[in-house]
Amino acid sequence: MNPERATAASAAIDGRTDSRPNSTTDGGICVVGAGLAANLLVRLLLEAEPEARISLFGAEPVPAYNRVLLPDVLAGRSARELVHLPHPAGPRLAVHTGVRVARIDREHRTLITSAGDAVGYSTLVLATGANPVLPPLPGLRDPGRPGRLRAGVHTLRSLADLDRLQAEAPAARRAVVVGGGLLGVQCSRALAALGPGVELIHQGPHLLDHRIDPAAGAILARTLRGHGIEVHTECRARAVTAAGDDLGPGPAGGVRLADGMYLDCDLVLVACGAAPAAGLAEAAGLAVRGGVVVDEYLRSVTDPAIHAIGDCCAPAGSAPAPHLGAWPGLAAPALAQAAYLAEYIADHLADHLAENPAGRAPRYQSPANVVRLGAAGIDVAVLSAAGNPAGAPAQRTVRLADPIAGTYRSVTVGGGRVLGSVLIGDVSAAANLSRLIDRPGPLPADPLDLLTTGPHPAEGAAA
Amino acid sequence: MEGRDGVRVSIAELPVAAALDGARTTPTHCPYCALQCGMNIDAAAQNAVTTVTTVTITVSGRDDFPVNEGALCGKGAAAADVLDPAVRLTAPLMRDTKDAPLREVGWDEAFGRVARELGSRPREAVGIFGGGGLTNEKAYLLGKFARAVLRTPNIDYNGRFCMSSAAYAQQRAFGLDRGLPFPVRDLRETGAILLVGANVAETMPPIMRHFAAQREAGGWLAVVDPRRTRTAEQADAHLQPVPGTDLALANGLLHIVIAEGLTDTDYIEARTTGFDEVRRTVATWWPERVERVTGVPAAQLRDTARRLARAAGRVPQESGRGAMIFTARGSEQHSDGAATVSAWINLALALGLPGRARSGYGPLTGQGNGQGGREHGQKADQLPGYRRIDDPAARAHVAAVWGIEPEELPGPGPSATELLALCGSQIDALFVMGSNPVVSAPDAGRVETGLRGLGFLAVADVVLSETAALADVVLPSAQWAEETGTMTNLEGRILLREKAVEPPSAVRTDLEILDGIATRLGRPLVGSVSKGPGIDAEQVFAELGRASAGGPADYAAITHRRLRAGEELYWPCGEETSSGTPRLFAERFPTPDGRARFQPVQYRGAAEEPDDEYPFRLTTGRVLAQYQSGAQTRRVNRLNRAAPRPFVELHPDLAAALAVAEGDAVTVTSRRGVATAPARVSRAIRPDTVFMPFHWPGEGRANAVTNPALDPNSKMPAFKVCAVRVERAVTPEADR
Repeated sequence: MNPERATAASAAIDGRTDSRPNSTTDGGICVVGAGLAANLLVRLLLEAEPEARISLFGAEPVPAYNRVLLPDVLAGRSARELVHLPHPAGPRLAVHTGVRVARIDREHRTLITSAGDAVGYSTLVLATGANPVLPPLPGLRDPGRPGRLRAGVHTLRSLADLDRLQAEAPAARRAVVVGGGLLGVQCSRALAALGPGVELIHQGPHLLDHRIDPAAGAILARTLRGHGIEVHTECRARAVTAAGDDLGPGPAGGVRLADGMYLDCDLVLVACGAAPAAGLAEAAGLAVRGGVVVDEYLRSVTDPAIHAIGDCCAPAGSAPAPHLGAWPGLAAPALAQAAYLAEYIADHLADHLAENPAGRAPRYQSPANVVRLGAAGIDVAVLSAAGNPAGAPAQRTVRLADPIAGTYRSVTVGGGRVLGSVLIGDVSAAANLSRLIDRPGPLPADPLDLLTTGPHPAEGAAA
Repeated sequence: MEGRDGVRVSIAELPVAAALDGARTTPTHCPYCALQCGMNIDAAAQNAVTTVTTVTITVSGRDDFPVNEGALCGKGAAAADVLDPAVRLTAPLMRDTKDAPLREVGWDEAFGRVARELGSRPREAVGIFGGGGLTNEKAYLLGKFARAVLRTPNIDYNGRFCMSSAAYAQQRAFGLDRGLPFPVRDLRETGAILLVGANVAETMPPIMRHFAAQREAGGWLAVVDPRRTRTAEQADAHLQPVPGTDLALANGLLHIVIAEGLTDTDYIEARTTGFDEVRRTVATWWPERVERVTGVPAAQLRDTARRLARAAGRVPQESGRGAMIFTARGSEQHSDGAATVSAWINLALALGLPGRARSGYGPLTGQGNGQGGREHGQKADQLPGYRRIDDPAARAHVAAVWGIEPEELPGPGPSATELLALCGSQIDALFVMGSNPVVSAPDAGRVETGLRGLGFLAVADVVLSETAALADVVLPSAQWAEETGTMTNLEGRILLREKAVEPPSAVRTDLEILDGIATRLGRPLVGSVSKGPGIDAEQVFAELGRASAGGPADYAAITHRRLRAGEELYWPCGEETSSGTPRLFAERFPTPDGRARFQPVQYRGAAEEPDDEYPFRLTTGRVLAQYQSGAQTRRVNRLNRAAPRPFVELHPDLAAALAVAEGDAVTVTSRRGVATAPARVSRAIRPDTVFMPFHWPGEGRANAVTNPALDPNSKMPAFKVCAVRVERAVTPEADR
């Protein structure tokens, strides 16, 4: 590291200089949240500025882990030990595990923990992630256990959720998965492999209906059925009940549907997406629309001393927080935001941009969306370019569907670039397409080649 | 130019004034790459019809050398062509002023000038630049010349551009850096090979016989390369990553090995340290993320990891035959090259490969003596025997051998790229031996400017290279067939190259050149070992042995006599290892605790990523018929016929987007410079990347474009990837 930068950084943190408008006498960098984005941010900050004073708060009582891999661990595709994230290390880093931040006192640039401790900050980063969305479904909670989910009802967001699900699933007789989005589809397959029969109910017209078209959704449903999973689309749950279709206390015994049918089960997995965890920000008076609204430098539009990254943030101008689960594909924006912000803060600390940091810093550019869903026998890739591809001129879409083989491939090009693609069953083109959607490159004359040939010829073909 | 087995015999007729009676066969080794293929030189005097004796020199492959088993590539077969006086230097050259032309001078005058120029400047203003083609004896003596005669810390060599990343990572992991930890023939026996960033079918063709044999025996071979090279064409699998993303690729493969429970936990427990932190660093590199960064499909990543693991015996009920991971410059010549090699070593350690039968990790050394050249003291931070120059015990040992006080030895100096960047400013006089950095260094345009700005440049070489052409004094060196010396090949095996023919009368050996300059500086280099006039390689080697004794690369028990008798000796070969060490690490690693060290490394992207202004990647490399900067091979007609000029390889989709047809002139522009060469349109390359070979000077000089950004640890430049703009060249025809 450049020693001048180190000196400037530590001086700024210690408050010995007042050149930075955001510095306070005891302020360092506080990061609330300890997931993938927060972990990368802190590690990158310490690579750039090993002496940086950083406080990291993780509400969960376990060391930082990678929730992206939880469905893979459930499915037996990944060893559980791989969820543990690297330990950031620095002489002035304080990691607070199992400490919840209760309040932000913006006026005094201070965090108040649930234990009542006060910690000052000069820069605050919110990386509080998202919480599973629980639909307003009667019987989801147990009237006998106020505030708690009925026994047998699960979500999959945390390591603790995974532990419970892994403990109960193998002995379960029949599972109902509520929600046919990414998590629902992936977990249905994982649960089916663990033992129970699985029914997947989805209120939309077809699986992944926010992301793929009906033909693709039909092929995906067919594939799931091939793995023994019952798929019910345009199907609403009306209540989760105890044995005997009883809304009273007791473990889950079934799911009552809007059409009057009753699905007998002893395990329910609610997979209805996740919502940004922005309560802390909202209570502090920050603008929240879906997530914490941030500008092109990932600063809260309300308070420039506060940044937000990962699932809890809503970049200004973006669609109001979609169902952003932390998924292999969608971890990309969180990681990109962490990398961007680490550089921004490091430059800021070093006073390179002291006069008007925001005015001269590069702006955050959100990457394309690439969603990959993998489970035994099920491969899905959904790609969409950053920005507003729908506005691109002269779009052209090529589709190849083979319901018997269970494959569906489409690609949309326009303005000389790839705008989107859906691949089901055969995702071999995803590697090339996800490179092209991140950095537009030369395209073949016939978009069909994007789905069928890849960048190089088949074995043995002449160059 | 040749089939898989290559050329076996090649004949050159040379007008050499040779004192040769009758015919003579000399067993020796090739002057080119690190395979050091065994060859015989038959020299037959053809008699004096005129006053000039014509000598017919026949080069043929030696069946008794296991690396090549009689095969030679086109370059090796044509090696004798460079002995032709018409293409080489035959007398010292000097220019009297910077503007004057080079003129022939005698050795006394040349030595006098070099000694005066080097001796009259402060030692910090004098630098030495060596080469990975120099024999062990020369590399050793060049280091001694810098440290004990000139007393300058400023010495490094072009091997910094080759092996430094692998060297650093091997030292860090194993406590030792020897190219291959086993003889090449072992790879025939292994179950699976991952060959990363190595185009051996073009760069060292005779080794392909071993890969072919491995596959014929049921083995699996995978090649990792951004181009579908001739090597990739012959593999079972080809992973085609974006250049500069190998670190993510390696971490991703290790992620899969861990995810699927394929690690060798007993080995990790018993023989390594640091796995836990490495497991955490690869935890965030799940296959789909790696796919997006590298462009290698997740399914192919999984398949590769599983095949390696199965061969490594990590699948229950299957006894694997072993697995090997090799890297070469494609994975190493990056600004994160050392970390990338560490990532491959981590993968090998997790699978329990190093030290196991038919298994392990190794870098494929490139230059002829890229191995020995990095062991005996021409490296900025190093003393003979692979000792560290900042280690007090090492300094005391070497100083004692040299008969000086340890304090008199300078400390570590700047690395090759840094040293060249100091030329024309802090360094005012440079002595180059066996290297052509004007063509081979990154950002070569700036290097050339620096060399032109020197107060004095001397170059010792076989031919008038582009670098020699800039020199104030050019000293003509003898070639491989004309002198005796040892080389250490990619296996760590020490080989003797015997003198087969006489050099032209006004040519001297590099050892004689160093001795001549040192003598005029009043500090004879070899006073203690020289018997009478001249300098003898065998005696220099004996001194090298003493200097290396007890060091990691211990040569103390090796003599020319043992090598001449045909002994197969691999280092370490010292007092306690006098029969040599063909295979390393079987019992322990030479680290303080005897364990190999996992090293957590993270992918952070290339030093220069494409952007809107420079939207594509350039990667550079080699072609079959040329070698390195081309100084030798561009002077051989039959090689030039096969590969006459540089080219820009690009994908048909990119060619179409640029309206470029096969053969059109294409310019490749980076933030540093421009290169122009004809287009070669090929599906062998990724559409987002262009390729140029770097063997040529002039407007097609690829290294005018490359990035001199350095790896922070190994100081390896980022030859293999930089951001470029690619355009159709504006030609006079196009203007009309």
